[in-house]
Amino acid sequence: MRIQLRVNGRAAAVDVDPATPLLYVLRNDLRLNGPRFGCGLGQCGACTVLAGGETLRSCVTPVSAAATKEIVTLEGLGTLQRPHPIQEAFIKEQAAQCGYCMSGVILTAKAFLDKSPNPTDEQIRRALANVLCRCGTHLEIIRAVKHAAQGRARI
Amino acid sequence: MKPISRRQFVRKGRDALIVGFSLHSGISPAIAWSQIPPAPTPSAKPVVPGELDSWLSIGRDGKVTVYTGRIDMGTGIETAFGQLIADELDVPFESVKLVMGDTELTPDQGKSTASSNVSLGAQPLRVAAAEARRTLLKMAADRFRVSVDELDVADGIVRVRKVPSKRISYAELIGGRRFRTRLDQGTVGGVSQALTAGVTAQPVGSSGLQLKGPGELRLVGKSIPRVDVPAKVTGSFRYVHNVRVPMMLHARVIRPPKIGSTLVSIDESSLSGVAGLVKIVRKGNFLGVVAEREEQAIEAARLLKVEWTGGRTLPDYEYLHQSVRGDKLVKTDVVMNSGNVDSALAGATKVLEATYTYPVQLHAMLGPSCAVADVRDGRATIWSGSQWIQGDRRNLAKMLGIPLESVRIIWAEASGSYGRLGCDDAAADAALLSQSAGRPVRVQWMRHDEHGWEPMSPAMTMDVRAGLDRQGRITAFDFQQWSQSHSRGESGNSLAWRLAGGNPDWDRLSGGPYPPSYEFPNTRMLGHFVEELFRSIYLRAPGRIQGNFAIESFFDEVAADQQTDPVEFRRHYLKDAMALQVLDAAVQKAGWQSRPSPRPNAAQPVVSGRGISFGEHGPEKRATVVAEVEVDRTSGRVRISKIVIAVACGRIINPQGLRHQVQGAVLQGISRTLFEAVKFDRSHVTSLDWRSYPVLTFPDVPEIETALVDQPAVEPSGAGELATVPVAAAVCNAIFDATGVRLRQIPFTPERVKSALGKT
Repeated sequence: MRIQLRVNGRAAAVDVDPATPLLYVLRNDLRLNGPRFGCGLGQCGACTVLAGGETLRSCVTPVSAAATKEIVTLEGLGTLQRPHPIQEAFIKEQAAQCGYCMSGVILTAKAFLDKSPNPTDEQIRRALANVLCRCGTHLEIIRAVKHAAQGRARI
Repeated sequence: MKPISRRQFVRKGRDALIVGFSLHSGISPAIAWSQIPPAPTPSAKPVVPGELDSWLSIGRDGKVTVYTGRIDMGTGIETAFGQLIADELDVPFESVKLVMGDTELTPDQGKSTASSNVSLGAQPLRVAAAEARRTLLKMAADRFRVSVDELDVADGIVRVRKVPSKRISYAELIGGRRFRTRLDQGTVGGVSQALTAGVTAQPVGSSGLQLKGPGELRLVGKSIPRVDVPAKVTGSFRYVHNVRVPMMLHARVIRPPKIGSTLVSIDESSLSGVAGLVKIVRKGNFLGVVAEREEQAIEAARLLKVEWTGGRTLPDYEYLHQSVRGDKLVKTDVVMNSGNVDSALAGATKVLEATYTYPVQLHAMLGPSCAVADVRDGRATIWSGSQWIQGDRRNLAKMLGIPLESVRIIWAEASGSYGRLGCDDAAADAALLSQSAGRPVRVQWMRHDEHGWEPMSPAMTMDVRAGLDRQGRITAFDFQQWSQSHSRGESGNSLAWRLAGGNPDWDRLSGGPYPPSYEFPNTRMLGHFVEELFRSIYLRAPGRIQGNFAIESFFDEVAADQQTDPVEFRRHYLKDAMALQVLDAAVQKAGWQSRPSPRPNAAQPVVSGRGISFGEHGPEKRATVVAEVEVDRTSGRVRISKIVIAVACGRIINPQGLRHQVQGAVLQGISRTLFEAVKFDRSHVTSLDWRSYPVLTFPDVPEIETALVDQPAVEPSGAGELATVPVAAAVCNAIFDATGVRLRQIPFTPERVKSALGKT
């Protein structure tokens, strides 16, 4: 079935089974590497994308359910040349080790900061409670999110 | 997808991988992301350790390319290596590029394990950089007809000191050409020495080559931002999971219901409705499905009806630690036997003893094992996150039945490694599947494959005894552990090869006990290796983390029995100056108040306490952890509020990088202490996802204060294992301080804590 998507500000059409999880379409058809397979169960967050500004676990979302939404992946948020302020904060705080969790962490932080621009550390921890990082980069990540919020507050 | 740049590829076509070593310097093993078929061809570039050109080249643009057989596991090795090389060669940090892990391009440097990348892996690169600098200075001296002593060099430009107008760049001297210089074999060492050498003294070998001393280093010691982080946070980093090659198929594996089950039959008709199915691959008990699309392979693996028979019955999970003790003994290692422990115990005024247990745990990498293989026409190219590409190459050649020279392993970074992972296993899976399908195949494990079949960290049961004299001094210390080897899944023993039959059954015994950090008149340390329960591979500080938990917790028990402050008690037996320095650094930073444990707490619902533990990793690495905890007596929940850690691991290359490594290791240590244990029924592992195998999450993260003890005169080393070693005992001791209850079984789950509190 032909499905129309809007991903990172561009239109894309794919011809796949509508039940196909969005993750495989993003990775294998659209060649986007930001969202990653972590568990296929919606538990870890590695596959996170934004859909209409809200986080979505693309490994458990059928592609057909994403057709009406504006999808943003980690590479759609900002690029190496023009990183988003949150990504800049992550670079400044060196908040990545292996980095496999970054879609979950950064996009969850983005959706959270959009709603809570002035969070406490405790609120950041709670906001990221369902995103896993296995390398133990949590403290740098919390600092980066805080840093991003403060950067925003100044603007 | 970003196309591969022209610089990275010299020629297109079937033999595209003629590496332009003599033409271009920026060759990277990035073919995996290109659209050019990966056709391994003999490279013009040498890889033998004795040639400078094997390690380093300088392009016409002055860019330095360094080739290393070591790889990065997300710890910032690429950056640390760059700092070391740029310092040794006197070039800007930005001009150094690393090519890591490609059997066609990089010299054999053994395994990237045991926190040895910085200590051992970097050594030949430093030697190569120093030799290149010496060669270039000599070339410049000949050009200007002066002696080398009359030259200065900075940022890759050589100047005649007294005639500043006489200057020449490295690029002008050698750019695009080979050095053709031999390296001192004894110092570069090749594989065996790189794996076994200790810290290298300066000067280097007999060649008169000098490595720079601490005072001459510009970049080493600075917090240079990691080169991989920008790509990682913007989604453009090149993980092994992102490797795509033309004609690539997707595959999933299907594992047996029990370890050792035999495959009886497959009902192919069960997949009749699956679109895109290319092949069901069976080889012995190895089973996989190959499809055009990834979700089709997942669906096929889920639906395939398979009949299995037999297999091993696992022990009762609840009695695992008793059964480990009774398992068939493979070997007992006497690691230490000084004095006469038996007679000292017999003559002791008091004997204290306790049994500590540590569970089976997972590396549980966030991105499941993944590899891409192209095995066709008698050749194999495999993209893998392997930490031992040369070992993998030998094993895969043997498994596939093709000559070693026809196998190329190209490393690409995997999800974080905390020891070694299923990367080699996925490589073997992909290789068998591609060989059978006749096309390139990408395989990634599902989460249940990873949790259920990754090579694990085995269970350990430990008995500790101490004999005390009338003054309460320890006269005898007796330690025994029972555990299987931690390296039963070493790469020759990949899961695929086992299932397909005919693997060499790797039998290296690892994870045995280490001598204690303390000195006693009589000490005995025994390691009993028992037969395998689950396939295993090193997980951060194998053997040490378990032994440290038992010994440092037990030491606290003895200190409490003697009503002595735990720090004071440790100081009495700790004889090593570096150890005392690190202990004091942590104690000071934590503001430790001297008193015995437990703390006299009122019977309030939430009680708090503090605990200390000292740990080592190798001859020159020391760490001390002070943990502060709160224990909710009603729920049994333990919350770690603060960790103070002091570490010494030689000269610090990158303080920020080191701090992050230390924090990461501490947090993983907390996760392993409070949450992690692999559960199983009589058939197989039941901890198959993140709900049944919980790990540390953001709300659990404590404040961490780190004291980095720099030792400029000691060669640099890694801290990823060191910092995790003392965590469990510090937490255990803090819980005792808070509650007066001693927990001797990891993990300290609320149920366990509550049950222990209920018994008092």
